[in-house]
Amino acid sequence: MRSRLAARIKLLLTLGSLVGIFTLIPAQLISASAATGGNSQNATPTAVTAATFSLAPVLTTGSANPGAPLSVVIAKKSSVLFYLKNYGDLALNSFTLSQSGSGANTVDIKICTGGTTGGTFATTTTCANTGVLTTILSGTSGSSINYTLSILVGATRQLSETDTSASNGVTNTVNIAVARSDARAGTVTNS
Amino acid sequence: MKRKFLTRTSTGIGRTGVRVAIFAAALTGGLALVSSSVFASLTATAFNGTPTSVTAGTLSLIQANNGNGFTTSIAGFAPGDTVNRFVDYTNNGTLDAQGLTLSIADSVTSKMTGDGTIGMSVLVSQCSVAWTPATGVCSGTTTSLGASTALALKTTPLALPVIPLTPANANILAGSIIRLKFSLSLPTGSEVTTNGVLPANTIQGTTASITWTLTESERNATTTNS
Repeated sequence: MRSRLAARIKLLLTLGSLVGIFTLIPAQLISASAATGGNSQNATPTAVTAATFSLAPVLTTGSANPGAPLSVVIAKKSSVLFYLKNYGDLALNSFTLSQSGSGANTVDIKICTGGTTGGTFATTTTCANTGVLTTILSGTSGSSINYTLSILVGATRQLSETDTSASNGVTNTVNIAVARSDARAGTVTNS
Repeated sequence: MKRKFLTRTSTGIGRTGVRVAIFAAALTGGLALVSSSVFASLTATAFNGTPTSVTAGTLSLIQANNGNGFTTSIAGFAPGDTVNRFVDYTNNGTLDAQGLTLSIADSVTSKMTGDGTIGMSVLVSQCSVAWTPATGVCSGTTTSLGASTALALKTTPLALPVIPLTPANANILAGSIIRLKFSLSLPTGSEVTTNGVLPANTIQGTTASITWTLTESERNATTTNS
């Protein structure tokens, strides 16, 4: 009898201890690991768009970005007009123009400077509005130049290409490249 | 004098039965005594006439644009550009806080926030007084909270050791305002666009939609005797 009573009391004590342990342990864990945090974030995300710098040679001012060099057939000792169009988001201050063609052809790339209306040509060999015809590149296939010229976003600038070789017409290709350094310099904006 | 003694009788119950009955009665009485001593003790109570009022502290961080802040979009962001945006954070809770961190999320997968070389970087600075957003001038003391870091490299929250640094583990006092400038920049890079075709792996034309989350932690728990 006594031993049974003692065994039951012992059992009750053991169960009580276990209940106590399982009650205490979670409380200790919570107090140790559950630090409270507060945060704040912008309800409307900040939309960011990177600019582009992009210039391409085209035959008309309304052309969509061709994404390709401009190849033109130039008759012997004749000229063709073409445009450089700024398709990017940044105004450009300069560009690198290179030309290539078949055989030993030579070409002159010319531009109208000065004058009163943005360097347009009157004919393939003359400038309009008192502009001055200026050769910016003269040479054989593979020649290139980095030329300083301001071209605003969406704007075009007219150039001419003249065959100066003795060949009976050549197919000449104009490539235009712009680097980050050809666009406006980096800016710091506070707002 | 003749003494009378109780004599043992011999009944149907028998000697053994009597012993059992006596033992049972004794056991019952004993158990009753034991149980009453365990469960029926006297108690006395005392309590406070005025209840103890207990209020849990709060932790709350709110932000307010100073100027365009994070609300206005950034367009035409060119390599080499820096855009400064100003945001004030107030510890609006009743508890002091610590451990301010910055986390960034971009809902658009882009090189802007995913490329550690050509993508965007951020440098956070603190001014002891309000920034002038139009000029970016801090007329008080400016403190850079770390170095400029590419967003793509922020796989874990960026610690912002705001001023004051003390008291330790509770330096963001309840009610205090943290006035921050976020300088966002794109590295200059060396990209070349040919005949209107953007180069491969370009940052040009990419977009991001950024959520800036600042988090403060509760000051260290304290034990108060009073």
